[in-house]
Amino acid sequence: MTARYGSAHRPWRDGDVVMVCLSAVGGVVAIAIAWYGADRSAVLHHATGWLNLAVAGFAVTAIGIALWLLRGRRAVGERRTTLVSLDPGETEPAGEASRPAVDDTPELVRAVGMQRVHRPECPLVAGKQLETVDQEDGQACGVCLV
Amino acid sequence: MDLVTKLRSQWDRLLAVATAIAAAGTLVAGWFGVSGTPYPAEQLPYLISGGVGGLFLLGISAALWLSADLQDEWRKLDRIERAIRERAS
Repeated sequence: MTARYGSAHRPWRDGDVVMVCLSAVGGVVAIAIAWYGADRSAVLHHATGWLNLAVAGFAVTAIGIALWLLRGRRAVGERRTTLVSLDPGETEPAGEASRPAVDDTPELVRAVGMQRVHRPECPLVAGKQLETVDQEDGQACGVCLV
Repeated sequence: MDLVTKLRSQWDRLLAVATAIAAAGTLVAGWFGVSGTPYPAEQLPYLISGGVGGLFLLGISAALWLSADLQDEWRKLDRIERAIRERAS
């Protein structure tokens, strides 16, 4: 997952780093040359040409930064989507996926007059009169016995 | 976490703040330069160095800050993924 986008520390690839650095350096150089040229132009018409160069340098840098941020956001978004959609069965230790969740429950309870079996600490049976039951005595709670 | 460690871990945000301050200074200096002369040919160098240069620094500052946010999010996702994989193994 991290191979496609950079390392574990940053969402960008090396090519993205080179691209944004080149665009920033190119912008600085263009603005510096434009300033130097405009400073030595006595005619307004010549100076406006240097201003165009400065604006072009700024535009190059702005495009480079925009691409940099968009790639970073895209990489983070894709990774988040991948994490959210991870198959829970895939992440469980071997052998546990097929085992029912209630097997390791030492004690199960059921509220008097109710159908579902809960763990004692389940909020759905809090404050109710409880009786100790087995797993087979009712349907498993969808909240605490998932 | 002591102050030095915190500053080291937040170097990109510190640099973003420093660049933003420099951008503000550059823009103000450019404005002073432009306002000091009535001739457009003399104003243009200030416009380039102060105006365009200040905007350039402002863009760098914003990029550094947003990059720091993205890197924080990326590292957090990395920790979450590692925790899931450790739980699975």
